[in-house]
Amino acid sequence: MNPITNRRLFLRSAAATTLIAGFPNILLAQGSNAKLKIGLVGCGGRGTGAADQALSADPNVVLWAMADAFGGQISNSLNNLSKKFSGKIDVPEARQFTGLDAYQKLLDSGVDVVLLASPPGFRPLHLRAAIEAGKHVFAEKPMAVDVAGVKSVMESAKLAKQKNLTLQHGFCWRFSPNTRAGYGKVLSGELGRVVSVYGTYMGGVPKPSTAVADRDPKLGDVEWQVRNWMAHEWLSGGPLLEQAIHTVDKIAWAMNDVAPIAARGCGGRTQRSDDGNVWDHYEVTFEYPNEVLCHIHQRQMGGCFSEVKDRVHCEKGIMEAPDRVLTKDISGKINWAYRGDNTNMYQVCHNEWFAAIRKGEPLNTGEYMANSTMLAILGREAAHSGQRVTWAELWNATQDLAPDSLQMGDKHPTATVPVPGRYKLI
Amino acid sequence: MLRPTALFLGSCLLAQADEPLPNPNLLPTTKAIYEIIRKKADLEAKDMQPYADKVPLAENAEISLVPIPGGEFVIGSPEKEEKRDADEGPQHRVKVEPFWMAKVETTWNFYRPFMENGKNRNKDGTLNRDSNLTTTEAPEVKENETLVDTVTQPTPPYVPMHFSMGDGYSKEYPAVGVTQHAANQFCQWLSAQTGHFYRLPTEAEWEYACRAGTTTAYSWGDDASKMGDYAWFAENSEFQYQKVGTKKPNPWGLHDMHGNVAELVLDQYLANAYEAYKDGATHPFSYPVNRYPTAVRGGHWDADADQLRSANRIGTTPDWKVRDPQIPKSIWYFTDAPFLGFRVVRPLKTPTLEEMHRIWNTSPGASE
Repeated sequence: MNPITNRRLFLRSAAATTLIAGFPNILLAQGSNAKLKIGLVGCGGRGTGAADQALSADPNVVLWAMADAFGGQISNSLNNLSKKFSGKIDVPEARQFTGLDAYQKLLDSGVDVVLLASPPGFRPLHLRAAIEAGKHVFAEKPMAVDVAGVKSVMESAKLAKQKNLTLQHGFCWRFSPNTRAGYGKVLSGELGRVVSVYGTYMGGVPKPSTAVADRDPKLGDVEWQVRNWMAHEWLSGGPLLEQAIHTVDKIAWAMNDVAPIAARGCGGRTQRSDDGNVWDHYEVTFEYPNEVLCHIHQRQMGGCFSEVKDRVHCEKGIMEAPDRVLTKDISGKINWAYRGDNTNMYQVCHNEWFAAIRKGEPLNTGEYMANSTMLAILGREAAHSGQRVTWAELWNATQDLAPDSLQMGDKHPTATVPVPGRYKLI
Repeated sequence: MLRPTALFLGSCLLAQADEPLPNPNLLPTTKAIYEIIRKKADLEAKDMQPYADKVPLAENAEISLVPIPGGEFVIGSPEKEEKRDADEGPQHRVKVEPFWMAKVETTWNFYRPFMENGKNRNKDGTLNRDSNLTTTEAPEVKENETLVDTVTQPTPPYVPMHFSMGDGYSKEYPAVGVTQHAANQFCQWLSAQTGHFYRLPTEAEWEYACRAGTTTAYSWGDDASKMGDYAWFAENSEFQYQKVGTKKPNPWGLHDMHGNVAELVLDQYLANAYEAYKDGATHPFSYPVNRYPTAVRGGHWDADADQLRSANRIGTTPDWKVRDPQIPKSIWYFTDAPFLGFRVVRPLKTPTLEEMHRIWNTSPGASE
């Protein structure tokens, strides 16, 4: 079983789009120009950002419906978007949907294109429903938090292909012109074969939970957890999935998206004091063919050394990204650095997506997005279990962190924090 | 909608009495800090000395300040100056009142404890007690909290704000990616702990201090080939910022006014600001009523030599937040400005409570 084999193809086509990335709107003159109705599922800061990019990517689009677990999120999001896109917003109260089933109502409201930006635990469910309903989809990263979720995403991707629907991913660095230039130097072979990768995502806690003492006693377990979703594995997948997956995905990029053999790792939960169950640090090594080892060091803790950097070590030099994209010779001397204007990578992502929709091109990154998500799960499960976990073993697992049927008021005690040597991947 | 910016002159920094007070909900915090500062009598100009102010929340590290005597100077550059931009004129002789200025750019040593303040905060920096980050909440001091906690402070950044330059948040490197709003709140945070009123310099104060009595393109003369002795810029910085204070200072003992990181100042950036200046005016200043653009001075590690000239001016832009994935974007971070920092000043004369509040709460409140 090797679901990753087709990724080379995607990569080649992604590289080929680099040249037009800055001005794909030219392409809109060709193909269909019908008005596209956009639905936003998950109206937090990132979802609102994705809506901004979608509304900017194409002249003939309208924000048509919004869905979120909580009504307050929708009104805030709508206020912010209305300031900039007054002529492209048409979301009357009747098309503002709240609750955990809001996505389904949105899909039934006549939208053509949906943006999925809820906490990632919901993504496989939302994606499947959107593809079944015949919508074009943008899915924010990560695309799942467990093995069952990734398999579902893979099935949805196949279904999208059959239905001729586009499916775009939110691994934003793959759209960043400077990062593309750096990884282009690796993949072109200019620096020789990749020898190893060392990627870091060491920072603070991006969104600390509300203090447990401040929990409104009226909130049921599920609502409390969704409101503090980053702290809960069934919702965020933990920091290696939720945040450092950017670095995991860039390891895959450097390795030309070939399948890994296995992963081993360690980590734990030492600084977090909320009532969730995610770890706050991981150190994982991915084994690749030809004795190539790729390492990722993830941490979300205050008061510690911090760095977000990919170091791709090659035979003839080193490529560093993504803040300052540069190459060094093997003695460490900088011999090339990207100097150019800042380009909005999130916008490039949506520009390329809408260009594909308009041209009727079969853009479908579903298999790729499922594989990069699975790669992060491989690392997480190796660390949680304390075992060397192979890629094949992982695909044979059935791990499912939460049922799809949860309701806001349900009792849902937090699962225990995994202890290596005792925790088992099932 | 952009609001018109008026030019304010005179010994009183602000003459905005008819405008409503910005962020009135935060006034109790300003007032409490004002009362602490007011307890100490202002010094006489003749008694100004260099001093070091201890910052308790930065593990008692000391911030070094240099006295800048009041005086007159010619702001802007002459038309004949090489690579000069039109916004650097017309030149005027203006007066500046005495102040102290930080010897070096604000480092992570002081900025990091402010940025990583360890409290659960709303997006506007007030303390979050209601599980909703989009609300603003009253600046009440509760158990285990202090006055300093009620100063609005940053929410955590998504990525390390040193952008992996230098040696992480090493204490000797300048804080970067800071918005003017964040710098203003830092000044308030610093004032609350030290009992001295700190703020950003005005453009006139900044250029006066940078020139340090010189009238040439740079404070060491007109010869750009000497830049490597005094400044970090595109040709010698190795694509990153550098430790503060490692190059020669200007004639008044200030380091890195040219280069290393560009510096936020207090004024609205107006390309024609100097047209409204009058010869002999005291303390000219354009109060920033709009979020963008505010003035930035001094050039930086990724800039070419001419941008490091004493008179060179640029303005902030929303483009410096392009990598912030959220909407609304954070009010605290310029995610795409690893070249932008600031330094603080302390005016000799302590202003009124209202002036203090307006200075720390510039622009349209807590907005992008």
